[in-house]
Amino acid sequence: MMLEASQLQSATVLSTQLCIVGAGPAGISLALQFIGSGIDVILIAGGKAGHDEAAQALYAGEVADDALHSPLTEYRHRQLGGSSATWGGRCMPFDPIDFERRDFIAGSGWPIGHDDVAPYYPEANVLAEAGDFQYDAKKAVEGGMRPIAEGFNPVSFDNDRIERFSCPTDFGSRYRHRLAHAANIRVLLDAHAVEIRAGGEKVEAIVLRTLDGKEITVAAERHVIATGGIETARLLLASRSEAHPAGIGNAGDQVGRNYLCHIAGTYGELAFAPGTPVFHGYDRAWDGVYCRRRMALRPEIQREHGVGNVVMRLHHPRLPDPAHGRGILSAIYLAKPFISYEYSKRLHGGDAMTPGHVLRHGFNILREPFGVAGFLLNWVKVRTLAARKFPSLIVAPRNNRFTLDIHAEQVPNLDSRVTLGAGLDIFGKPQARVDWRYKPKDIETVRVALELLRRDAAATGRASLDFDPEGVAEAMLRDGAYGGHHIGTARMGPNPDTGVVDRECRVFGTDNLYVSGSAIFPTSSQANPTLTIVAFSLRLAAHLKREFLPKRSEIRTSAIKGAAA
Amino acid sequence: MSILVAGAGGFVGRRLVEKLHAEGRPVIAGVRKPRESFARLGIEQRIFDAEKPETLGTALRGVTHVVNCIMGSPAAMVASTRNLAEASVKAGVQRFAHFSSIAVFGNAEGEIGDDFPVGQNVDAYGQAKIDCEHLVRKAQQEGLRTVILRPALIYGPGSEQWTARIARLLRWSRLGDLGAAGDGICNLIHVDDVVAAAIAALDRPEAANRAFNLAMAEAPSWNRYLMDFGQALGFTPIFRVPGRNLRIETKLVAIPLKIAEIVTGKLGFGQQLVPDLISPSLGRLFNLDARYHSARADIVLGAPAVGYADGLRQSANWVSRQ
Ligand SMILES: Cc1cc2nc3c(=O)[nH]c(=O)nc-3n(C[C@H](O)[C@H](O)[C@H](O)COP(=O)(O)OP(=O)(O)OC[C@H]3O[C@@H](n4cnc5c(N)ncnc54)[C@H](O)[C@@H]3O)c2cc1C
Repeated sequence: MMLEASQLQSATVLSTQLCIVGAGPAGISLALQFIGSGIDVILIAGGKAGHDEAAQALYAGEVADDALHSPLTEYRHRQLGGSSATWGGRCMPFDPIDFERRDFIAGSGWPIGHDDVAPYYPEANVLAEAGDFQYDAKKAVEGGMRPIAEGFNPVSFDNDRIERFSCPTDFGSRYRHRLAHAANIRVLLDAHAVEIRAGGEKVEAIVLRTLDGKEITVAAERHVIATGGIETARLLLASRSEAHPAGIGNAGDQVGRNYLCHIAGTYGELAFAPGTPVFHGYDRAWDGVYCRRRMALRPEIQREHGVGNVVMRLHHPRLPDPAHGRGILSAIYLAKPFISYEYSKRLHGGDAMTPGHVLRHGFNILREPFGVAGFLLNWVKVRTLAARKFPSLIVAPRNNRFTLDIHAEQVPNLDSRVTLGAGLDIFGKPQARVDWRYKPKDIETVRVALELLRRDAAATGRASLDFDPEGVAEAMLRDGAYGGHHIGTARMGPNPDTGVVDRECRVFGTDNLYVSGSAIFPTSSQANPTLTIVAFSLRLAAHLKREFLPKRSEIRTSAIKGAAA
Repeated sequence: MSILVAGAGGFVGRRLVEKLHAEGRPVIAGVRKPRESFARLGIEQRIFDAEKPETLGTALRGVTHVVNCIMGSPAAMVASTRNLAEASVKAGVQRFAHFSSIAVFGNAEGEIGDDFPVGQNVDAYGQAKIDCEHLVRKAQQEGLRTVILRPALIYGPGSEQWTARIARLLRWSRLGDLGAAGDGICNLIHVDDVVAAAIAALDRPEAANRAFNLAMAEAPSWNRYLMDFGQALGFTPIFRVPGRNLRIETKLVAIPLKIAEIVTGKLGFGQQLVPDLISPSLGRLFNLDARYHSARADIVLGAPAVGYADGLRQSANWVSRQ
């Protein structure tokens, strides 16, 4: 059932068994598991079904360094479906090594292993509409996927690990009808959590406010915070009380620390011999899912060199430099004003457009007008009009000279933080303040991977990599922290001194409060987070269902009562 | 024992006759027009039109068991059932198995067992099926031992509606992965399981005077069925049908197609000339959240034996042979 908070009276108290705060992929995946379960659920969307300026403004906050992190109203969407309203849909699971304690990475090691979440990945893949849980290039497509280039097998890398793409599915519009239809689920639109109320270990209620000034309380037996990596920390920190003076779950001063994104950028020039057939695009699985190869640094090599997890993809040259000579890249460069900030930031880079630039880009287009027109027409077909969209721009560079698109783990960092800032939102609640930091290790991971690729590529005799080791940091930090991946602010740990939630995602120091979302990830992996977020929601749902089962003793008592009656 | 299958020219009737014949049972095919294939097998055929009671006179002579597989317009089904049931009472038939349908449950959602109340928002077809069930129960009160079978969507070799038509729509990418429009449950039952249940309905004493849902356990979602079947047919990669396509199909395209279907039908052309239509009610079915349970049939008549994967494979093979 869908409920507009505007239809409720102020001071309404809603009671339920399970209250889920936040309706992005994490909250929605969790709620879906309870359809028909007999357990009463309230899902708080924190916005409308669709973009709403006033709701979005509640995300505003402070950023310590504008060059390193985007404004807090960007790369987050306060609405039903959360940021999946705009995500790119790139899916892949975490690797076993991501969960391990690695001596060379301080703060690494989860209290659970890959095996604990593995059973939930296939269903997560289905919910994300990324098809079969099959991430092996040899099996994802009948007959195997096309190789990047014949004989090109850089040995330090696994070239058969792929990424698969969601439609990309907006969890809000995709699953709304199922939630609306479920008798035991109430979706509360346009209500915003401002406080988790807990007198002691037991969380009593979630306090909500509406944009038209009402206060509504949801009292549940169990509560789950699924408001995204930044907002989860903010809500926990802002829920200060006598019982929780530093905020909830923050006895060990861990909430908001270890705020991780990914280290990413395009760099280097990988040149294949002219004329060598090189494939860096998408293959399609039987179910229509787009699949793409990546080069993933092998776990044993990570250990050997003491670096983090990292993947690379072949990429078209950077758009702003007209020297790439490709009309379509120039056309997209010139279309910058029509592309959303979130996608244009990395595509176009920060460079300002000068008239001379524009002219040279224009010239590129004139050099291959039919190529550009054909490309755009096809783009309308496979992207604009398609329900399963072609995931990204694939343009072969002239002369077989590719850049590398790099996506690397950011290692845990106690000083990279989300805290409460000085500003207040319209409800008078402190806004978030983000101070994103990175460590030398983060840059080293990328530098080492590039050096290994340079050596390995040369050994294959098919390609050569050219890059300047001194320039790695600048290239990886040019656009700052990778947008949209907000990880680690309520990390899972063995105890409250090093973590915020336990292995079941229950917040330390509480009985009945849980977190779902990338906030709980102690390490960031090379992988984009959403598939793993969904897998953890499924795991949490299974745990909560067990918790909700009446205890054996209760069944016995009620049976006796029944017999007496 | 002598079994008359009325409506033997239809999809289920034909399979049932062939199966009974293969088992060496004395079976008579009740048809409106004689069929070459039955003649070849040496199966006795009796020609009648159950809508016209006067043609039924000799049809039931010597018959001990009747299976009513007659399909048609709502009026035709009701008239045929009435006439056939009355004639069976008169002829002293020992067992009367009647094919109803899960359509009697209308658009009811949730878990639907054998004793779920019928009649919630039913369409004309479902109402006719309910009326037929009433007529069968009336005959039961007059001493006829009856069995009512309510199969779900019958798929498999020979199924025009849920196999051949779906395959055509998949081939032209008019159906595929439907996303939010295809989350309903696709309650299938394989034709061989339906035939087996019908035979058990004649044989088992405990089946008498009861109604049975016939549906597969753990039925897939519509999206799952459409994608799995598309894969089995080799129509890959499966097309993700944009929501707007399906809306246009059910709201705009369905109307002229329906008219074209009626006109070509009236003019006596084959209906093959008109492309399949995706009616609004079919569109709704793709999202119907109803799961039919056949607990009673599983115990009394035997649980379905054809697995989903096998059923898909057989269906795809049959379609490719067409
Ligand atoms: C441009 C972009 C591209 C991306 N591409 C990818 C990709 O290719 N692959 C990938 O894996 N990930 C990608 N992501 C990341 C992905 O979108 C997130 O990982 C995912 O949305 C996180 O899901 P979530 O449910 O944890 O949080 P969110 O999606 O952030 O949802 C949070 C929910 O909580 C609600 N909420 C927030 N605060 C409150 C409050 N106080 N009270 C009540 N409700 C509240 C919000 O309204 C929303 O419903 C991308 C993100 C962006 C922005």
